[in-house]
Amino acid sequence: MRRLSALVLLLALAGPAQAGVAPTPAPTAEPEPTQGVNVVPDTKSPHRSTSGTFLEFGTVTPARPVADAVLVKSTFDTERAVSVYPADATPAVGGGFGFGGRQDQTREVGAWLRLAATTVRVPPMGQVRVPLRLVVPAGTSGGEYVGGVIAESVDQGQATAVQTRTRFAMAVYLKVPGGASGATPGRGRPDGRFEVLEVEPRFDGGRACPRVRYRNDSQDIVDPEVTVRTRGLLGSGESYDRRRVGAVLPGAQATVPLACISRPIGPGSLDVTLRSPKGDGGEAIDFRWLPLPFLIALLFLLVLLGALLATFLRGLRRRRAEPEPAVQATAPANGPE
Amino acid sequence: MRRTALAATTLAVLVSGAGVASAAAGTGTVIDTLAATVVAGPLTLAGVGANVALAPTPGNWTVATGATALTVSDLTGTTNGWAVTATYSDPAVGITALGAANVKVSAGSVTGDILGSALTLASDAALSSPVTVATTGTGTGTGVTLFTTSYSVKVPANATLGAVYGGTVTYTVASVR
Repeated sequence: MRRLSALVLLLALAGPAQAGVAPTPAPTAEPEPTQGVNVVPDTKSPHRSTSGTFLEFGTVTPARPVADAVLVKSTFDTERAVSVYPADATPAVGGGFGFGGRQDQTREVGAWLRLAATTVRVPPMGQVRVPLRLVVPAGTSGGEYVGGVIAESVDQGQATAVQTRTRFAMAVYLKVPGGASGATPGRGRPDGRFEVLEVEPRFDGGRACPRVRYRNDSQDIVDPEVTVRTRGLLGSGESYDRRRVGAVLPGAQATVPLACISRPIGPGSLDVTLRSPKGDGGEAIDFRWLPLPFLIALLFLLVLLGALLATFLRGLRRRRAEPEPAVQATAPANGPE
Repeated sequence: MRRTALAATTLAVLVSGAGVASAAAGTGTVIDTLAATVVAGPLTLAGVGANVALAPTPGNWTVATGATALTVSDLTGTTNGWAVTATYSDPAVGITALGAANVKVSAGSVTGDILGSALTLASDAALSSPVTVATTGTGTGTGVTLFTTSYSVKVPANATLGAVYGGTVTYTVASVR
């Protein structure tokens, strides 16, 4: 079976303290690891992104239909039934978007997209063109929206206790004009900004692996830029910049782990600066640290210095307290008898 | 094109000029000119599951156990990166649902064309919301990259003897804007 991910975890509880496990069937055939299905904009689409990997509808007037098409592709060497459906995007833990499932109710882009087919049979190494139509309902709040067109191989093995499935999502971006009036909750605010809620330094041995939490109260999708820098007492340290750390939908928040950075030996600081690329928000957070071994060494040094000083002072005091030896005056020996 | 890795599906070999020959019998030269044009391929995700036996103590999280090897093939020839997200849904009828909050996912063991240090990976993230398990961010994702996801699960403290719990985890790959 192609692209079958037949992960099976059967959790059979064997007792109050320990659960047993039932034997699980193995997949009947393994797919080639690089075979799969995919959706891209039609090569003639006027809304094809520069990379050719997603659709950018730009500003869409509500109640005015927009026609386009996508290509459903397969790299399997046999014909495949591929399910295609539109989906809404939701914020994902770690930044970016997750896309709804086939059975999930759609409310935004997933509901506004209509595909000409729900299942297509894609020839080996081939592709099938599927027309689509986008209609944004009248009265939709202004702001930027994202959804997706999903392609999912129908045959992904038998349903088991815990099953893994794989699929492909082609993002669809669009903007609805207006927004100042009638902006619904969850679409951000016309005057909203990108806000950093929390930066957690998370030190891990000789590294700092910061985690950031931010919120997007604007009406656009924001993918913030970050600069992370460590500085040591002796001037050592390093830094990196990331142009995008994880997109966040309007009215949503995201918690994103940033790449780790080595921290210098001894006391130092960690600076994390997050900025909205649209210039409408950002924040710099600075953490300082005094590592425990350094503090212990410093304490030992102070104790040692204190002990030396005490010894020296005690010796000095003892020397001062000792009576001075009496000096007997002796007459000069060369005096006359 | 900046891609150098060639896949069977992306390689078109055009043979031309065959038989620019002097035709005298038994003599002459035939020159074949081969032009191999690399064309863009798709971005795909494939997963190979493994049979994993978990023995959960009711009410407690199991240790993370390696389960699924995922392969991202980015043959698009673009510099856009990719992101793989995981979502939970209830299992088939007849199996008790674990529930999204009782399944945590982690990613690791990265091999292939993209280095692990170039990916942002999930660690012990509950599937109550979609989880970005691996992403290149804005970095390029070109090539074939493999990584493994592992699960940690919890069954209720009052779980019935012999009950079977499960769920479906769907991995989705998408190109980063």
